[in-house]
Amino acid sequence: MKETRNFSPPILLSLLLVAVLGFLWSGDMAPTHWLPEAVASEAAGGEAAAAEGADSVQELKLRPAPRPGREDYPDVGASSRSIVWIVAQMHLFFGALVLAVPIFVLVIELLGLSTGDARYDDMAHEFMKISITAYSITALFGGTLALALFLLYPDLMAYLMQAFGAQMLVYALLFFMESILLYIYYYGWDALRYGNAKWVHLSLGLLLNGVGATLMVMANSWATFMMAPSGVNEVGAVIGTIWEVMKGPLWNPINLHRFIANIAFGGAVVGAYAAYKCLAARTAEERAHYDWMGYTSNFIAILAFLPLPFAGYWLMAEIYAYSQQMGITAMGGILAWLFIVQAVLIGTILMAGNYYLWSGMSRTEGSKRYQGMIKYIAVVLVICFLIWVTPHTLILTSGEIAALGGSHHHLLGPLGIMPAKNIAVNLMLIFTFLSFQLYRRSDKIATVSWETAGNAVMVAIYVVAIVNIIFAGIYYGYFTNTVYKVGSSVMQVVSTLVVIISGVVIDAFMYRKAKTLPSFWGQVSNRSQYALFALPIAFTWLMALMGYVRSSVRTHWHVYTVMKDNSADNFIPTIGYAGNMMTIVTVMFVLFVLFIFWIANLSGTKQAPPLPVTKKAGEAA
Amino acid sequence: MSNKTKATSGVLAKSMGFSLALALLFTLVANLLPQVEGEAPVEQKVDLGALTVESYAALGETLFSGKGTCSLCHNDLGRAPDILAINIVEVANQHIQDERYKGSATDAESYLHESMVDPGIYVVKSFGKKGSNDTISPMPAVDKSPIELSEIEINAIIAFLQAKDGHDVTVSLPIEAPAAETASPEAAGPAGTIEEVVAKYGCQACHKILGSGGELGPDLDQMVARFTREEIRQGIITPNVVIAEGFPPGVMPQDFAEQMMVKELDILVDYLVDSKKSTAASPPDTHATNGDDGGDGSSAEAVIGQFGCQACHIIWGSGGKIGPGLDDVGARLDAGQVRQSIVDPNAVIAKGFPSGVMPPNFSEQMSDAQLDALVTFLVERK
Repeated sequence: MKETRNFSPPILLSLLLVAVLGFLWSGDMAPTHWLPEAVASEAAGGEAAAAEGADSVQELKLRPAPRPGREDYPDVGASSRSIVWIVAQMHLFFGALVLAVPIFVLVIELLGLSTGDARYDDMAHEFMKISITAYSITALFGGTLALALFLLYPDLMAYLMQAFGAQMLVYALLFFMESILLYIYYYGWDALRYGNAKWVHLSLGLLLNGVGATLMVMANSWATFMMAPSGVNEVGAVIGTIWEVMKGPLWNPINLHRFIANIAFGGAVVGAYAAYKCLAARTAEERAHYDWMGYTSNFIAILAFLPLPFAGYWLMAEIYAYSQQMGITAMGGILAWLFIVQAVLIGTILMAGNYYLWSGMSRTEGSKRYQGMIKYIAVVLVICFLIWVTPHTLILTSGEIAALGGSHHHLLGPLGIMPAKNIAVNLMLIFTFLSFQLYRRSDKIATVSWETAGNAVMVAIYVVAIVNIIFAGIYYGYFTNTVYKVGSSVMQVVSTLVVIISGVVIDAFMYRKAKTLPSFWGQVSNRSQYALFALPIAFTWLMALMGYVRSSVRTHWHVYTVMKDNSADNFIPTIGYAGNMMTIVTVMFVLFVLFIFWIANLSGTKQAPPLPVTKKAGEAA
Repeated sequence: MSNKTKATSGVLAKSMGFSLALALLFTLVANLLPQVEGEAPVEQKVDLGALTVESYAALGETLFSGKGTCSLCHNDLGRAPDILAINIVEVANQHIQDERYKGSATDAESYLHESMVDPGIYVVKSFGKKGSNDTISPMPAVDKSPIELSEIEINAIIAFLQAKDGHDVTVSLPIEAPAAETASPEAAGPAGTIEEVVAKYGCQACHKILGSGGELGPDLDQMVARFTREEIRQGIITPNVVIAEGFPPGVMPQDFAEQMMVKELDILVDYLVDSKKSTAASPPDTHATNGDDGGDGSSAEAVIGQFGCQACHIIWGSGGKIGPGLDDVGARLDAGQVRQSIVDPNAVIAKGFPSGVMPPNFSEQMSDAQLDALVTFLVERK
């Protein structure tokens, strides 16, 4: 019963949130400068009169977005944006974790049920142990964030309350429901473990994920409304239904992108937990268990990560379709340099993921067949990584520009543009999948008669896809105009997807009745476990970076085109400043995660009972 | 400390150190890149009286890469025509002759203006929105959100584009309305009576109020009977939120909230609230608003203020865009045409503007002296 301490913060915060939102939504929360000056003076006195003919002219109650001046933003002596930045990011990190973990926990639990292997069930339960503590922290940061936003950006919040109205109340109620389901799901694990009770437990897990996904898409609609408002007129007055307000052009792309990214992120964080436990293990059995857990986490993280760039493509395409100006601000304007940092981060993730797979091959003798290929994969990954981080332009002195004969170096110029980067990214994804495929094959020997033919087809698919990616990138990227250039990236993405899907399908059939070679869990280098730390650090930093880009494309608008940001922080900070903020939130997150690991450990620790006091020989006499 | 605790602490320290080092590496990369801040556009105070053609064009150049965000796409990266690399005036003249061109521009200046406020009229080949076959432009209208350039700023950019290749700058320099003579609502003192408020903001140009006025907007003596005080206020301040049936949207200026003093709005709302109680009563004395009151009402500035011309037209560099700008009307029309445009506005409609919008009854409302003063004033606007 000692773990019941986790109950209170989320549930109390849910109740508090419902109460606060209910109170605010009931009206009278708009600051006086919500309305133009002239109207504000009459705001109170006009109420009685307003009640008279309200029925006949309901529409006239529509209000435009507020236009706060600099003086309307509370000054708390520190940058309001930085405060909200840190708190929001922490809430998002933990929110992503607690929404993602139950997704793959449910899958693992189902896997345990179908295979009858209790290890899966135990591992899934242990994953949830991390999630349950993280949930309390999510709620605490969520409450702090709400408080900070209402305190520091009252007009924006008043406007969002106007636009979303009762939807925010529904959100708070769902949060309450999520808390209840989460606790029943976790604490009822052993009580509902076998027979029909297990199905009840799985159903609870499904319900928990349904509520969690609904919470996520509802919160996403607030962010996407601020980027691309819908259901409002040109002055921001709400003219649509709540569904029209929510369903902006960027809502579904963000929903998909966050859903996938959360799983990758969640997998990476629990992978770090497994690595930590593996390194600290005192017995071979314990080390083997956490090695296996780390492998599973990495599998989840990389599997979810591979399709993420494609969801990113869709999101950016929709941003361009909504506003080319916004798209270019992100990809070709002041924020463009951030994508070099993104390349470094994703390169780190892919290389750490690959390194972990290569190290993991040492668990089985069968991997010797493939180890010769590792060095070639590594060379391709490094070359592609270097191309990806190549900037298009360099910061040069006038003398250097003169020496170069232009601002673009004759080699770096062509390598710095998107066609080259698209080739590099797609090849990195394909070769990461190759590492993954070789790892999966390491402990198996196929027994089907068509093994040679199947391998030949697989090799052919790889070769054709790689040639196609390089050809499309070079031909359409350098010898045709912009329209074809953009179109060629679709061809490249399809090539990569074909490799991944056909690889999974061919191997599924080829190794169905394969001979399995022994694997020795725990027989892996300590260094490989640090790759499992690198993944969540890079993922966390990457989430902070891309969230910053997503938010900054609004430039000096709270709600793009309808409500300006007139606060003292309405500028886009330098990349260095943003980078420092990202490191601050990443380090804070790591500290909190270590706290969670410690708590998770603590819950399984029992103090030894005190030894009975024995009297000394002489005392008895 | 037990061995187990020591081992755990060691792992904790190493993993924390590794994580911190990696995070710092990413920070280092971010700090090595070019450090640029993206400032929010700052409204520049321009001394209109001190403007020269050169400084106006220079302002345009600043706007081109600043608030206008033109250089975001119009550069050498192929996202949009590289305006700085081409002779845009010559190109504009070519586009006007193109059979695909459906706009109303007759020269480079009007083409450039049109391409900024309504970019979809002519889309340069291969620069249209994806899948639109060059029928939809990805460019936003620069006079609307999120760019929101004013008419003066748009003309400054045109001046820059004309000047950069050595062409004559044909846009008129914005002229500051003389402080002593201006009838601009902002410059005038607060109106003290309903008649003064109606005259100052030109309500009768579009609405029937105080017993007389135009028919472009709803009859305020009748319509307000259905509304509460609060709703009337909102109807004045945010007119486009709800459009009365049978009337076109977007016609009523949206900036009354900024122009009106609180007291003036109170007077107007009080009158409209009262009028709903006594709509059947005899109309208020219209003597003060029918233009025959003589006195200072016969100067052009007073006429413009009284009849609210700036609600729809740009005069002295400010005003609405429902009708054509009048700061250069003298260069386009002679005195007879100007007079005809006022007394019979639907006889000839300026290209690109809808017919039937301007009230046809100004000749009934204005005295001859007022009409003469207005015509003389406008003819001199070149």
